[in-house]
Amino acid sequence: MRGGISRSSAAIISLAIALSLILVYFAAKGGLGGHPSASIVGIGQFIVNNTYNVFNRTYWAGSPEAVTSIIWDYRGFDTIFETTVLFAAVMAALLLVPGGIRGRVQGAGKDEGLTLIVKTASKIISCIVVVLALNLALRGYISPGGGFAGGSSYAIAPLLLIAGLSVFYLVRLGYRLSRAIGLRTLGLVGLVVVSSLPLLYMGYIIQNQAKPGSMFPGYPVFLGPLYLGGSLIYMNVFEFLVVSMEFIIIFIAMFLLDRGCGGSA
Amino acid sequence: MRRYIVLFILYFIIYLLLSGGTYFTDIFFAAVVAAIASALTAKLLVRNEEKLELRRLYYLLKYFFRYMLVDEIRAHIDVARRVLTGEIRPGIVAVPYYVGSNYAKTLIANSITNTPGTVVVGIDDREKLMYVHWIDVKALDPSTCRMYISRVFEEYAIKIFE
Repeated sequence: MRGGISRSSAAIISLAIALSLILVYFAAKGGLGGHPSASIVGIGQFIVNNTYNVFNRTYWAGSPEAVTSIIWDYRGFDTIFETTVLFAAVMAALLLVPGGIRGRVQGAGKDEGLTLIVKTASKIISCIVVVLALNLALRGYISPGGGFAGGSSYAIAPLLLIAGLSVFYLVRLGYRLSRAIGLRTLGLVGLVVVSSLPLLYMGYIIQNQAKPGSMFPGYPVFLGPLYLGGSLIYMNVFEFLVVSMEFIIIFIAMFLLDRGCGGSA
Repeated sequence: MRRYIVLFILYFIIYLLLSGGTYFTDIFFAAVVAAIASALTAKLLVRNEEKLELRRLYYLLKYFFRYMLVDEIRAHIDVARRVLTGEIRPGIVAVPYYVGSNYAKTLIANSITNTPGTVVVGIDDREKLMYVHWIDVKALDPSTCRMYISRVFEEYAIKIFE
C-alpha cells in the first residue's frame, strides 16, 4: 500500500468532493436561509458600534478588528482560561515523553517504552478514556461536550499507548493509518449527508428542525423512548469520527516519521 | 466470553456514573458504548479470563476499603507528625516482591506511591526489586523493608491477581 490510495478510499474521497460541490451550489442559491431578525443581532450591533469608536471611547477596544477585540477584550476571560486548559494538557503530555523534555533518548533503537507500571496503568486508563470520550460525544446535546470534545478526548487513548508502550503496539492493536483515513472520510461524508438531506425537501443546509419557509419536517427529536435531539446526535457522532481519527492519523504519522529517521536522534 | 461480560458491566456502570442520569436514553447508549468498548478492549485488558472470579472481586473491594481507611490514614498521620517535628531520615531502599503478573506489580507499586512517605522511584523486573524512596529509613535489609512497606499490599495483590 506504500504511497498509493486504495480504490475504495478514492471512491469515498471523490464522493465527498462531489457532495461538497453540491452543498456550495445550494448555498449560493439561497440554501443558507433568511437573515436573522434585527432584534437578535443587538450584541453584534454593540460590537460594531463600539470596537473602534474614536468619538465615544466608553466601551471601545481600540482596534478595528472586531473578532480579535472580542477574543482578547470583550470575552478575554474565556481565551485566558482556554489557554490555561491547553497549557495544562500539554504539560501532562510532556510528562509522558520518554527521556524527559531535554530529549535524551534512552536505549535508542529499542522500543522498550516506560516501566511496566506505567505500561499497565496506561492500558487501563486508555480503556476508560474510550468510554469517557464516547460519553462526551453521545451526550453532547444534553450536557456540555459534543463531537469535537469527545473526538479530541478519544485521541488521548492512543497517545497514552504510544507514550507508555510504543507506536508499534498501537499498530498491532489495529490502529492503522489506512483504516483511520477511511473512517475519517466516512465521518466527513456522514456530516455532508446529514447537513444536505434537508435540501431534498427544499429546506436549508444544516437544517435541524422545521423552520418557516422550508418544507423539511425536521429530524426526529424522539425515536420511541429515545431522545435524540434531532440532527444533533448524528452530527456529534460523525464529528467524533472525523476529529478522533484525524488526531490518530497525526500521532501515528508523526511517530512513524520519527522512527523512520530516528537513527540520527 | 466472561471477559466481555465483566468489562461490559464495568463500562456500563462507568458510562452511567459519567452521565449522572438513568433516563432510558442514557441506559440505551450506555449499553451500546459498553458493548463497543468491551469488544475493543477485552483482549487488551484480560489475558486469562478464568481468573475473573467473584472471590477476587471480594478481595479487591475489601482491599480498597482497608487501604483507604487504614493504610492511608495511618501514613497521613505519620507524615503529618514528621512535618511538624522534622524527624526525617530520607533514603532509597530496595524492596523485593514475589508476584508475577503485571497487574499485581502495578497494584503494589501504586499502593506504595499513593501512601505519603513512600514513593516507588524505579523497578527492576529481572532482580524483582522495587526501589522505594522512604521518608524514614527504618532498615536497610530488603526483607525487613518489605515487612514495613509492602507486605500487606503484596498479600492482597496475590489474592486479587495471582
